[in-house]
Amino acid sequence: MERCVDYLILGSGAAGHYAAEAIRERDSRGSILMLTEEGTPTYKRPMLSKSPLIRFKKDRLSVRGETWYREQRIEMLYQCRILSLDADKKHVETDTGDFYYQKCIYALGGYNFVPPFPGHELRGVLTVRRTEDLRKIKEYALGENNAVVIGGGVIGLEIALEMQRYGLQVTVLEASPRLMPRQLDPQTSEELLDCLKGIRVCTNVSIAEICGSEGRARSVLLADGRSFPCGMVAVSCGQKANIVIAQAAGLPCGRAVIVNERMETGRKDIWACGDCAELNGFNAALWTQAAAQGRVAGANAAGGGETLGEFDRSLVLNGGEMSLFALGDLASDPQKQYECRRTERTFQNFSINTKPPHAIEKRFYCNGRITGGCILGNLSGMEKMKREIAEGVKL
Amino acid sequence: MSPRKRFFYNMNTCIGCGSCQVACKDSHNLLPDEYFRRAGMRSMRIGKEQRLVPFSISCNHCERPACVAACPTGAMYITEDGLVLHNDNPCIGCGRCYWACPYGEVSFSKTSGYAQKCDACLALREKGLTPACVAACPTESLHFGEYPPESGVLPDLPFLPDPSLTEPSLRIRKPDALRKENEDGAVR
Repeated sequence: MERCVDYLILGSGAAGHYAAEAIRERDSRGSILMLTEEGTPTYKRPMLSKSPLIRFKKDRLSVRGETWYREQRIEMLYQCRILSLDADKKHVETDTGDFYYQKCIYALGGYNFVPPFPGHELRGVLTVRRTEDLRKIKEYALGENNAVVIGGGVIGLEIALEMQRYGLQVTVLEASPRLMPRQLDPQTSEELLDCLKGIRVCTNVSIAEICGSEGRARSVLLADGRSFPCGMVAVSCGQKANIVIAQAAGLPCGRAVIVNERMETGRKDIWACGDCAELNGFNAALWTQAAAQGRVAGANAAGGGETLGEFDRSLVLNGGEMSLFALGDLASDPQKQYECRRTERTFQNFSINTKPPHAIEKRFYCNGRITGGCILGNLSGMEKMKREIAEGVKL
Repeated sequence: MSPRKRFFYNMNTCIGCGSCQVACKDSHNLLPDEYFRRAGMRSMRIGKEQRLVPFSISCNHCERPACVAACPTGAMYITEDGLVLHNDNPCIGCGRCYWACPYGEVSFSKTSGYAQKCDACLALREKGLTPACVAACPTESLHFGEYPPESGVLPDLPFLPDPSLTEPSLRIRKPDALRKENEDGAVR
C-alpha cells in the first residue's frame, strides 16, 4: 500500500487525537490519517489507573466514538507499526505500507520503563499503559491474594489503591527513601504514608530479583533478603519517550524530541507533541500537557501561529479516605531557602456534603513568594491554592 | 441564548418521602451509595426551636459553577439553557470538580470512575418528558422549567453553603413558619 495524505499523525494518544481535532477545526478539507499500533480509537490513559478494576470496560475509555472520526473524516489505521520516517522525502514506512505526507505530527508518546531486574520478563510482571494491561491484571488476580507494586509514584499508588479495592493485599516497593520525592516534601511524604491504610509500603528498598515458578512471577526478593510473595507484579517506574524513529530521522532529541513553544521540531513540516516531546528540557508526562501540546501542534500544522499556553500541571490523587494535591516547587532545591506554612483546616461539613472535613495545607515560600503547595485530606482548597501559586502571592 | 431552566422546590409542601431520590436513582441506574438527588430531614432553627425540615437537593446548576471552573478538560460545561452538564468523553476522572462543588453534588461513578452528577434527566427531556424526580414527587413540590429568578428565593439555609459562592440557579420556597418571624412577612 502506498498513499499520500495532507496530515499524517504518528500515534493515537492524547497528543495525536487533539492535534487531529485542531487540524480539522482549521482545515475542513485536508485528509488526516492517524497511524497507531493499538486496536482502538484514542482512549484516556489516566483512566487506566482510576477506573474501578471490578467494572473495567475498555470501551468506556474512548475520547470519541468511531462515528465521530467518520464524521470528521479522520482516518485511523490500527495495528500499524511505524518503521521509519524520512523527513526529506516526507515519507513514513510502516509494516502495512508507505505513506507520504504534506505535514507530519510526531506523537508516538512513550513507553513504561521496566528496570532490568532479574526476572522482569516473567509472566505476571506488568505495567499499566494500555487497556490490555488492565485485562491482564484482572486475569492474574484470579485466585491470588497478594500483589506487589514496584514504584510509589502517583500511578503506582493509584493502581495499588485499585488493586486493594479489588480485594488484593498490596505491597508497594519504592527505591527512594520516601514516596514521591520529586513532587512532595519529606514531611508530606511521611504523612501520605500514614494515610495509606491497608497498603504496605516499603521505602528505600533495592530489588534483587523477581522470582518465579513455571515462568510466572511468584515473589519479589529484596537485596536485604526480605521476600514478598505475590501473584503479580505491577511495575510503575516512570516512562521513556519513543524517540527511536525521530532520532533515525535526524530530529533533534534529548530525552525526548526537542520542540519549541510552537511544537516545531527543527525539521520542516514536522511537529512533535505529547509524551515524546520536550520543551526547555522538560516533559511532565501529563494528559493535560499532551492535549495542550497536541492542540498547538495541530493548529500550527494547519497554518496557525499558536504557542503553548498554560495547562494544569497539578498532581491529584483520590484514594477514598485519603486524597492528595500538590503543585509547584515544594522545597525541592537544596540550594534555596524555603519557608513552609502549614495550616490544618476543618471545613464546615454541611449535612448534605459528605466529604472528609479535615485538611492539612502547606504552602512553600522562597524569597517571600509562594513557590508551591500541597493538601492532604479534603482538597476543597485546591483551586484557591492553584490561583495563589499561579499569581505567585507574597508571604 | 435560551431562557435559563432551573429547579423550583417548595419546602412547605415537601413531606420528605424520598420519592424523588428513588426515582432519580432508578432513572440513572445508580448503584448503592450513588446519588444525584438526596432527600431527607435536615435540622434547622425556626424561631426558638430546632426543627427537622424535609429537604431535597440535587445539582443546583449554578450560574457560576465551581465544577466547570475547576475542570481541566472541558468535561463539565454549561448548556445554552443554563444547565451544568458533564460529558464523559473528555473526562479523565481527576476529581477536581468533585472537590470544587461546595454542595457535594459531584461524585465519582462506581462503574466507570468518571465524575457524575444530575443532568436534569437530559434523556427524558429530549423525549419531551419532565425529570424523573419532578414526575415522581407526590406533592408536586419539585418543578423544573424556565422559571424567572424571582419565582422563589435563593437556597440560603443554615445547612447549605453560602449561595454567593456559586450562585445556584435553584429557587426554593422556604417554610412558612419562617415568614411569621418577620413583621413584613418577607422571608429572609
